[in-house]
Amino acid sequence: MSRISDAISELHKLDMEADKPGWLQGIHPLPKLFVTVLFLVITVSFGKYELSGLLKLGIYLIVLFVLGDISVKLLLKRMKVVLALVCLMGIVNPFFDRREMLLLGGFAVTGGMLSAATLMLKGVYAVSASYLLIVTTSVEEICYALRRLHVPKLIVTVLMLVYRYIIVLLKETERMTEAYALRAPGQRGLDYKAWGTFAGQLLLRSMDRAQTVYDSMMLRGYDGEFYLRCKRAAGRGDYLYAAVWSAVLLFVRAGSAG
Amino acid sequence: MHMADALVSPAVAGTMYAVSAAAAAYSVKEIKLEDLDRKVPAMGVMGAFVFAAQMINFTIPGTGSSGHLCGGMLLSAVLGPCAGFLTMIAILAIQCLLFADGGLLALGCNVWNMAFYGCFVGGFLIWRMAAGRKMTKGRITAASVIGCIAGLQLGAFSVTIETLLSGITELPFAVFIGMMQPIHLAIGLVEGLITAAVLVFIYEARPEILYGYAQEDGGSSGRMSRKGTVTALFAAALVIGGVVSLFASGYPDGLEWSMEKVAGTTELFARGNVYQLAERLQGITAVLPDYAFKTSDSAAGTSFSGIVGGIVVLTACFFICVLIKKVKRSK
Amino acid sequence: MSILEIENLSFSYGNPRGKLLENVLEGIDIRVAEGESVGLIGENGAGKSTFLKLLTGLLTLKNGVIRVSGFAMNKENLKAIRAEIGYVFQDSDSQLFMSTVYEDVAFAPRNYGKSEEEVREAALSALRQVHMEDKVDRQIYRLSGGEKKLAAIATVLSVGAKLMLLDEPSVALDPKNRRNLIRILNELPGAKIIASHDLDFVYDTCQRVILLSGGRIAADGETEKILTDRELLEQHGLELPLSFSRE
Repeated sequence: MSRISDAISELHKLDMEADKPGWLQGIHPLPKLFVTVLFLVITVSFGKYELSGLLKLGIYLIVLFVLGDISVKLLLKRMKVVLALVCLMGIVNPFFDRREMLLLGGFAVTGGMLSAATLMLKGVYAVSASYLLIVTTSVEEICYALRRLHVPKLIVTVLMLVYRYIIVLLKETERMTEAYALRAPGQRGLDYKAWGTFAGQLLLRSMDRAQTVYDSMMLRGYDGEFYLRCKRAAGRGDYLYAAVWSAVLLFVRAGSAG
Repeated sequence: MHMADALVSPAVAGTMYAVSAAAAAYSVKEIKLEDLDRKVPAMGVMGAFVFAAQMINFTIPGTGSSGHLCGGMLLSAVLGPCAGFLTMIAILAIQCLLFADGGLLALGCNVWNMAFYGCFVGGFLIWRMAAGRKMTKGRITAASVIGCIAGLQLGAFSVTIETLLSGITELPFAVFIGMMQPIHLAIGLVEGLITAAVLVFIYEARPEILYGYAQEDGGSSGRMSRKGTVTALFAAALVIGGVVSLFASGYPDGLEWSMEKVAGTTELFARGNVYQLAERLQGITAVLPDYAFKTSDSAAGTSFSGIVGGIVVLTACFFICVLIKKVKRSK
Repeated sequence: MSILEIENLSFSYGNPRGKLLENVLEGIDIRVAEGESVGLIGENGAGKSTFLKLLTGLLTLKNGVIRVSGFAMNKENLKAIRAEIGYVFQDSDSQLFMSTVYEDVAFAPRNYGKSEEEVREAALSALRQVHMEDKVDRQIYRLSGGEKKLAAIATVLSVGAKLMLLDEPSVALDPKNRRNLIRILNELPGAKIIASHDLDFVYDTCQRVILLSGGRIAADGETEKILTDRELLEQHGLELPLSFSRE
């Protein structure tokens, strides 16, 4: 099943990107997470017709993509799903909202068109900003930032473990589906007679694995505490990064307030 | 059913974050009573399992299409509702971060729409009622199907309300809900059957894995207290009720509504000096003065010149950045 | 001095109703000296895995005495014993549950309350011993099978374990990685018990071999002697190592 191998290669590529040396990769995860969320909040705070203000907000993305040397190739692929969803929601707007808002040359732009465009731009911005975060920050670093934000340790620990075992289980699932496909030529998916046994076997094996993981933790002195440490503390540059971007983003927002 | 960031307004996102966080806090507290250190690795590995298993295409007999597994229901049936819910949060967070499924802002919505209903309504209430003390294959199947349908119906309803409250689509309520609910009824039925097939297999192979299997009447460990059940139900009712009444009372724009509550005004940015300065500076960036083109935008906050101005700013910014990079490289 | 002393050990699993089943291990007496490498061989079901799990306290000791570095195996001593003994699982992916090599190797020292500086020192030194110092920040899933095995060994070295238990360490390794593992194991100074079906591997890494059969010790002696004894091996369902059978 190509979805599985797609997912595996996607994870690989993201990792490769996050491993690259660069100034953006070097910034402490906490300010990066903060600025990302601020950018997202400001993005969605724009009203449905406020296209011009939203456009200007794009400087954040442009500056980081260009100066941070971030590959756009991966991003375009990720954009597909979200854009499809957003288009589905936005596509009806021009039909329902026919108020004329602008005149472009001789062409009348209706409110629906404007709100559809705004919605799509929001979709592009949101995916790009999250991509910027994950492509420059490893999952462990994000987990560390979450801990600093007092997200319960249990949730962060489970998040780390799920992330760690996704690839392992994806590969196991891939092997099983391949083995199945080889013995069931012509079938596109899993026949209903095999639903329970196939996924059930995988589940039982996963439970066994969980037991081994538990053993491995216990043998290494685990007593319910997971220690998460960041490689370094936030420095002056990190604070500066957060401060400058907060100022710029709020400034753009304030300037476009109705 | 993942909501995207672009589909939510800050108020909706914030509200849903708050209710999801409350449910998470409750689950963390409740789960501490169970044997936690053993549960942590199980949650991690089972989370990864659900993630992978959701990529398996289960062929639906008689049709060309395929369905998928219902994560929340399955996790609750194996780990219990609280652990299942927390595991689902981790899965959803990873989906939004690594696979752009959903989004950071919409995570609160997604946790509520999928994890909460899936685990607490589908996975807990119905699992407990139907599968309950005396598990049989029939009861497990019934619980899975009803649980999945109930969870998905509630989730789809929430998606509709959240999207409409965010004020991003012009789709009328009746049309939207008329599309969402029937589609998710079909999806729920299929997911329920698939989940049932897996759980029945587990029941036959290793029933002790299933949540609540080994517990006799007296053993309360691992079971949610009655108080907890009531609280969870009450929270769900409150949110659904609140959201519906909000919608019914005719606030199309959730943001404006919440601002009015919080600040007593719908004008977010009071006219302070900074804002005036910002506006003036932005006025300069708008190369084309407003009066050059006839517009009727005063209420909308967008003008043709504004849009062109925005594009000019972005282009200029792009070239400046490229220039900076070149200069840096040549050094 | 012995790092491990086992006296009159026997063990049986209980069935779900608490009734004891037939003994899986019976009358085991073993002493392992510091720095000694012992191969543990025997056909499937001979009791090797049960034996290793008893040594680490993953299974509860019921009959007999186990002493690790002088600590008698009981609940109170468990944490101390686990600092002395390291268990390398057959499946490295289950053993390595953190996301990067460093975090995983640092997991145990952190649990033993060391300062972050000591943790770093211990982790790096452990990784140096298995020649993985260039993979410190690598994601676990990007390691090859051989690298995962070495990282797993480093995770037990980082607590300074004096006795290492390895369960089928050579499984699924290609010849080059297998040779590399043999070389590294032979470099490590601590005592080792290597449970394996790969008798050539045992021959290359151990001076002494214990042959388990039906839960009892069928032979205990020099590797050279036991692994060349065709009759003894075949009697207990094993075959001569490849390197001898060719002759």
